[in-house]
Amino acid sequence: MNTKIQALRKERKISQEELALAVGVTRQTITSLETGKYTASLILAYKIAKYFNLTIEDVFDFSDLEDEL
Amino acid sequence: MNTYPGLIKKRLIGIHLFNVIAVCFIGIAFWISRNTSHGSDLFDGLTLGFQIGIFIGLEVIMLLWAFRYKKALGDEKLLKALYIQEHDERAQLISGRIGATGFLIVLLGIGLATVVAGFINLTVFLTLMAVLMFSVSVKAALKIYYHRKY
Repeated sequence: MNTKIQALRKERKISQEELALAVGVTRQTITSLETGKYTASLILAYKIAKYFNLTIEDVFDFSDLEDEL
Repeated sequence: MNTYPGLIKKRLIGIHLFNVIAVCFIGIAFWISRNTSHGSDLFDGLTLGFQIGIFIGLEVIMLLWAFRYKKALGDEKLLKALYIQEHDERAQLISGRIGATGFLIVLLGIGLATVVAGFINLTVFLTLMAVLMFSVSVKAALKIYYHRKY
């Protein structure tokens, strides 16, 4: 699943380590989320969206799922 | 996270208990090996070495973990890092996948070894058969348990 996490981080000058610590995961998980290798759970998605003060749909790209529905 | 320091302290007690048991086992193993023989110096050495080696290896790992836990209990940042490392969802997913796939591969390997052993040695065949049946029973029981739980 594609995400806007990397773009949002760079826009706000936040490192992967800072984001990881804030949402309670390892830096490797943030890397995997940004490269689309790993799909976050609902709880993690909510935490990341809340961290950026955005909705889940603003951070995570659900366009592939919408095509399936 | 609030209960995590308490959990770490319990683990430390468990580690210390294990270390005491391991030292006792190593002593008992040496004493038993002096009074029994499998008929071959090589075999005696191999079995004793393996039994003691496992416990020494586990002790070293336990001591490393004890050191890590003690350090974390004295440092809030380290404690949080340890907590995150343990509860990271991606790491848990990977562990789960390794467990499931690895267990299946091991079962297949034991099954194959059981078949081959059947042509060579009855004792080995029966032992491997018992291990295989136990492993399959454990997998079945866990499957039923988790299906009901979730």
